[in-house]
Amino acid sequence: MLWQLDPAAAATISALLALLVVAAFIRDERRRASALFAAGAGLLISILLIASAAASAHLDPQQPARRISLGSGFWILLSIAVLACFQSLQRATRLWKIAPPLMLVGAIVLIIASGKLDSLSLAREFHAQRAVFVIELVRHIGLVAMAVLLASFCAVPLVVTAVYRPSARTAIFTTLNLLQTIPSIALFGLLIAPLSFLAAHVPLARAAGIGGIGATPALIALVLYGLLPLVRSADAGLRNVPMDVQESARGMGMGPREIFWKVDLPLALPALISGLRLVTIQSIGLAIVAALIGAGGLGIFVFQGIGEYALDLVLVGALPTILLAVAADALFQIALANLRTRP
Amino acid sequence: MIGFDAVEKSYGGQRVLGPLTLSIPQGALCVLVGPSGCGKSTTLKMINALITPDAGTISIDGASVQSRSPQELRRGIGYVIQSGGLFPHWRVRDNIATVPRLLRWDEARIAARVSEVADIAAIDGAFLDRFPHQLSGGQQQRIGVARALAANPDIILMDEPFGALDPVTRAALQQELARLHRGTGKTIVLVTHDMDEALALGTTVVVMQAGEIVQSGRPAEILARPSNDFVRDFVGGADAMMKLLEFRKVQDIVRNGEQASGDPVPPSSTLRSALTKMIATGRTVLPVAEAGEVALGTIHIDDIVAAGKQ
Repeated sequence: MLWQLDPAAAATISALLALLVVAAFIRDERRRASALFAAGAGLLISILLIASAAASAHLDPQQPARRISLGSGFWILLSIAVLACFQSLQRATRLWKIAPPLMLVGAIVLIIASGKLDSLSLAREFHAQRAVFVIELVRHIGLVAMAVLLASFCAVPLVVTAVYRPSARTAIFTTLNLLQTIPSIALFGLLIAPLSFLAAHVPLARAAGIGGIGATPALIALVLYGLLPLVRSADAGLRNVPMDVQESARGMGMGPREIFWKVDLPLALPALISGLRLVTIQSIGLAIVAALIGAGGLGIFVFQGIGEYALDLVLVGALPTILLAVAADALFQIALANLRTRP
Repeated sequence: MIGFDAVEKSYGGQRVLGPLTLSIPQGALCVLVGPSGCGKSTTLKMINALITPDAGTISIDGASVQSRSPQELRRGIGYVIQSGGLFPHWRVRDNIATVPRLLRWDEARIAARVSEVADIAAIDGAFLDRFPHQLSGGQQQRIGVARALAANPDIILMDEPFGALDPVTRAALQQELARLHRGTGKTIVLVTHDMDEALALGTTVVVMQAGEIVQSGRPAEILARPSNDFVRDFVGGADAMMKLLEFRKVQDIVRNGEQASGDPVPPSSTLRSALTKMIATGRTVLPVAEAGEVALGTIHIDDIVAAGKQ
């Protein structure tokens, strides 16, 4: 609680929160972004320092098993700070603007490396799981990357059909909408039976690692969920290319191929990237559930934590997932802001 | 020369055009004019094969349009549409260079040609590195014209090119188009629903109604002898007489050698401006003279009235 903090810490946090509020009203976009970032970064570093100080103060060498958990105040302030930082980053159109956030990340790493946060139970959980954590993090990212890649490949023929064959459009969107309404756990469950059957009767499938549980059903489910946002955004992007632009392209002697590559695709690109962004973020979250059917990933910690009622273990899985999603979002936003097409 | 021979077009069993026979001589500024849905845009888009006819042939200099590759054909014909149709993701410079790039000119030649046509279309050099959305509607349409001129085609097609512009900008661009036509001698086919624009710009005006040509000829002919009530109404009914006065010159009806007092009118001015001056000064006779020179003769209001009734 704020009033239990020493006055200096309370004053710092209040001042930074006030700066954050003021920053939100700055008219000039660039100055607003800088002020937001400064306030957010300041807040982030302050609460980490305050938490480290509090953690070392309560450290008792007599009781090594003692756990110190962070209160809700810390988490609320943390999310405000992180949100402010990412919000200010979204409009970054120059690569050098990535330098201050990198410095911030460096500062956070230094605070964590100082060892003062080590007595927090979250840190202890993390240390205990460290070896597994790296493996599961890589598995999580790999699952998401593979799902987004496969969904993109599958989306191409669907988009082409939806855009250029109006008769098939309704069928495609009805099917994809239907898929989207199936709850994820149900879809994982539905996939177990056919895939087990496949593994049992087709030796080649078993040799390729396909089975009723594991990465295969997870991947299939993530791809199926990713199709609707991808196809919908690409379809909207391509169909929103102005008619007069297409007509003048045709009238000046561009062939169908030139119109697609030089006009339709570049004009639809922002929508395509938005679709990819949506699917990536969605898959990062959904991949948590994939741990239930043995696909691994950060969900392992979440479900293990829920099972053992170890909330800090849940956080070991949940926090990196949130960070991954926010980082992916920021990357796509930066890509979108830096989008340039050449003739 | 562009020729239409018994060209027809139907959509869903409903004939929207033809049979239409028309020839547009080289160097003409031919204006297709008529109400919405009269088939004028369809006619225009058949010249560059954006629309193919159901029957009949369209030829350019004797060669059939349908027998050529449409892409190759279109690269040799300039095309300007109402909204400009500029590529929003390309700079003005790259928009103008569209057809030369399709024709695979080398970049040095393209750069030289872009500044050349920018001069012709009176585009400020500073605009070349901007994006279309940063420019006004009039500027965008200038760029549309420059883009159509870029590969130096003999024929330019314009589909309602000034329709979306405010009256002042439209008048300025109309004048520039007339100047450009005189300066380059290109064949221009322009579609409009505005009869005043047709009369002001066209060397030939083709009036269309319900998919057919109802009258074609020089603007003065159409004004003086509308072929039916539709054309008479379309050129403005009684007001047509006033418009016709714009096509007649003071020098045609000057009474040589006579003297009169008052502010002189130059022999090259139109009868309409002479009449306006008479009303403004309250006189029925005015001296005719070039500015600062001795009077050639006089112009009488009776002669203007007589000329208008012819």
